Amino acid sequence: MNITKQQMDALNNCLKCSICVDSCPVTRVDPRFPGPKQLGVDRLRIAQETGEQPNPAVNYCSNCKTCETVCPSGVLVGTLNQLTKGDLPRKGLGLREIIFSNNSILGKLMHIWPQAGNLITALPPVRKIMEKTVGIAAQAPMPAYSKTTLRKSLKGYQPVFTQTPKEVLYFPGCFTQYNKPEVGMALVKILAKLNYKVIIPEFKCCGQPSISNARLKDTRRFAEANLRILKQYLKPGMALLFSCPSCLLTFKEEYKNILGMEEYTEFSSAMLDAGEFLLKHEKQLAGLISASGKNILKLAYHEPCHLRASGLGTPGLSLLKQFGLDITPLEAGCCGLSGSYGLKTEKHGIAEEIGMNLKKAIAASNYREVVTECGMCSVQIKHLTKLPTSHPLELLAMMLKE
Amino acid sequence: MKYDVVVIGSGMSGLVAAAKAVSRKRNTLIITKGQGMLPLTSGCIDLWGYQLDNPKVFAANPFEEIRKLVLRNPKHPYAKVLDVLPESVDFLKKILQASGYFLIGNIYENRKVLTALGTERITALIPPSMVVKEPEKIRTIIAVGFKNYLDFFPEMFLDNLKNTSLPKGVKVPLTIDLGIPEALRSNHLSYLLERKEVLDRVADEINGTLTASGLKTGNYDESVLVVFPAVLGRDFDIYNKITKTLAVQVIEVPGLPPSIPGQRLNKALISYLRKKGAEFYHNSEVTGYTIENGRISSVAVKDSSNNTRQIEAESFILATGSFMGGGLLAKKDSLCEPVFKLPVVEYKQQDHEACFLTIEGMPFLNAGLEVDGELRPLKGVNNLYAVGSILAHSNYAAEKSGLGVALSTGYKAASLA
Ligand SMILES: Cc1cc2nc3c(=O)[nH]c(=O)nc-3n(C[C@H](O)[C@H](O)[C@H](O)COP(=O)(O)OP(=O)(O)OC[C@H]3O[C@@H](n4cnc5c(N)ncnc54)[C@H](O)[C@@H]3O)c2cc1C
Ligand code: SF4
Ligand code: SF4
Repeated sequence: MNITKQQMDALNNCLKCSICVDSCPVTRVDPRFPGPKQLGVDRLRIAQETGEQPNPAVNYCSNCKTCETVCPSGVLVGTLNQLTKGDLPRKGLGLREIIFSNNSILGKLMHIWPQAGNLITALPPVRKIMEKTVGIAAQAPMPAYSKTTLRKSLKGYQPVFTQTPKEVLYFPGCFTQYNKPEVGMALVKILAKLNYKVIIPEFKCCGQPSISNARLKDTRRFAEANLRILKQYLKPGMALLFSCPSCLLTFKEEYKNILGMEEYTEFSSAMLDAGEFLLKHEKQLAGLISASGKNILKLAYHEPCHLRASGLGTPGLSLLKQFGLDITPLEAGCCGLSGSYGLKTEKHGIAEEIGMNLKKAIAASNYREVVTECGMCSVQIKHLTKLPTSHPLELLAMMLKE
Repeated sequence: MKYDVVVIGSGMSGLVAAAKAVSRKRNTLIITKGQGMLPLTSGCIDLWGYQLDNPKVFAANPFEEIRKLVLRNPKHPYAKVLDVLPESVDFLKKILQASGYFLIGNIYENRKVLTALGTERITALIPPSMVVKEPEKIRTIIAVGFKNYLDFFPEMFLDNLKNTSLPKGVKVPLTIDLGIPEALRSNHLSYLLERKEVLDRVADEINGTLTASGLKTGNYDESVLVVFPAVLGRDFDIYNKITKTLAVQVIEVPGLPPSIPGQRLNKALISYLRKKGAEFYHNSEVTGYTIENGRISSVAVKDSSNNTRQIEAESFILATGSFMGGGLLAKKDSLCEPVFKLPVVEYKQQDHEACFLTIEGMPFLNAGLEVDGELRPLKGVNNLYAVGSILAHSNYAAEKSGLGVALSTGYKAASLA
């Protein structure tokens, strides 16, 4: 594995304070995972000199990036762990990792007949077989596929503009495309009211699943394809919006830090969380929101780890609060699922245990609904609490005046 | 969006400042690069540890010593906050209570707390789980360790107790095997104890030991003290449960950092702030500022991909800590404050008469920013405040004043901001 000078300097900045270890959700519930400091920082420093082989326990790192968020010295521990994972000798074919890394293919397949797909993958005997053959835990929550895709939903939608609209690019991500197109539709509708036309090119998956599944070759393939698209579509002054925090983080940080693709640096100021973009149009938006939305009662807000790690605050939460919703941040930490991590047989138990904290925080008050930006967090929240979930964009769209 | 108050840093000083600001209904944002030192601390709040005239001896009344101190060293941070010190401590107690967290003690009295080494440490405010309620009644002390947990050795703890003020009595070491083959860390142990079946098992083993020693009466027995390492859960639930189940006196003793009690206090403060509507930018670094007409109008904030955005506010509170927190940087031959490029007072041992405090040395901790009586570090700029361990002329390690200085300065700045 190649560590850049910058990463090596960051390693040397480590104070050995262990704040990261005590904040790592996996280390807390499973002592077999020695934690970010030992596996990431300490081992890498030794390995740089001795060439020592990586410890396979690093596979238990979920890339939640809590360690990076809490570290006072800016050490990119999570990132280094993903690089180390890529160095581990691979056992067998890794069918499961291939499936998770290419979830857009799975999405397309499921969308041939999504209702049937959802039914079949919910059948206990099928799940048992999936567990036995590919190692996907029978008890793990499976994200359900939507009846339609975002692409199909948009086909029938013609926004009316009173003046020539400005343009923005949007990266919906696989979850919005195949599992929850409502989020993308909400964004498109809100932006139409703000006089923006939304362009959605045929992007590839961001590649976050392939990073945590140690298939960095797939990640590179996606990143290169997405780069070509960006170069073609992103005109000067135009923004590229994301509704999924993990996709945003992958574009802004991981392509550069994990793949070393410096080409993305020039686009990084154009890449924005959708909430962040809307916050810039706050005044205009306020005029479009009707007070009736305020009838939605008692919401809890879960801050996705990757949003927190991005260092841009919680713009969606700020907007909802501003428009008068009764919404309380839970501050309960990682949901545990971490994308495909908690779906795996050997990690499902860890994911459940990590999630207990969130479950407890939600049970502590009579919340009606949980708001979060991350699709997989919402899958976990539904699984743990049976409460409905929504994306801040969906609530905002609901509050729009007719 | 424009905020009323932006707090830079989420250590004790920044968190208390933000809490005071939200309690004044100020729209408050905390921007923080990482966690502060609070999760590393014992969770005990030091105000002032030693007698000024006799630095080898514990101070009985920290407020008395601080009053003397500010006359002798008017540049000390405490000299800027003496007027609000009592109310700042009351404020902290009150807001913590709202999050179900309690602090025992007051500013007029230092307390002794047992440590994991079996020594005593002097401090002012402590969590209820560290209070030995009726020390004079104790006849038996049971110290509970865990197999493969290397931060607490019951035998060593009990042996060292002979040098403490605790009454001499029967001492029983007990090591519980939870069946974990790996080295046990405090955070994992604390997680395990939050599980009912584990806590029940621990209680059973201790009860077994009590019965074997003929000590199980069925009623509350204050003559027995059960001592745990400080791993009793992320809130006080576990402490309360085990105390009730065992029906004896129970304490937890703080050990090496990072510590569960420090994390507990950190969590209680943050959950208070979240409930009161304070916003956070985590993993986000303030790298510069804009000044207009003698006021700071905005700060430059860097996200995790090195993109910078400007955030505007009425007032700014710099709570970036000392060298460990990143508030001060040591360059080759000078010290600097990287955000506002404020002048840093350097400290060499012989520079100042205040080196009467040489118990633990580390004179560099005295380095930092000088502020006026309203905690403003920059002459002519009225809306920038500096708080906590970034302030000069205080050495928390030698003085035993760390969290005390942090909370009182944070409180005062936010009362003004
Ligand atoms: C190991 C240890 C144990 C201790 N134990 C105790 C104890 O038991 N009792 C006690 O009273 N005291 C104790 N102390 C002292 C006490 O912890 C400190 O004095 C106190 O916590 C300092 O708080 P602070 O808010 O000033 O700074 P810090 O806690 O250092 O916080 C600084 C904050 O600023 C952030 N930051 C820095 N630069 C930037 C930037 N440019 N942009 C954004 N954010 C930034 C950091 O990430 C951090 O969140 C201990 C200290 C240590 C090191
Ligand atoms: S939190 Fe950062 S500085 Fe502290 S041990 Fe972890 S990597 Fe090192
Ligand atoms: S990324 Fe998450 S799971 Fe991995 S070491 Fe860091 S905190 Fe632990």
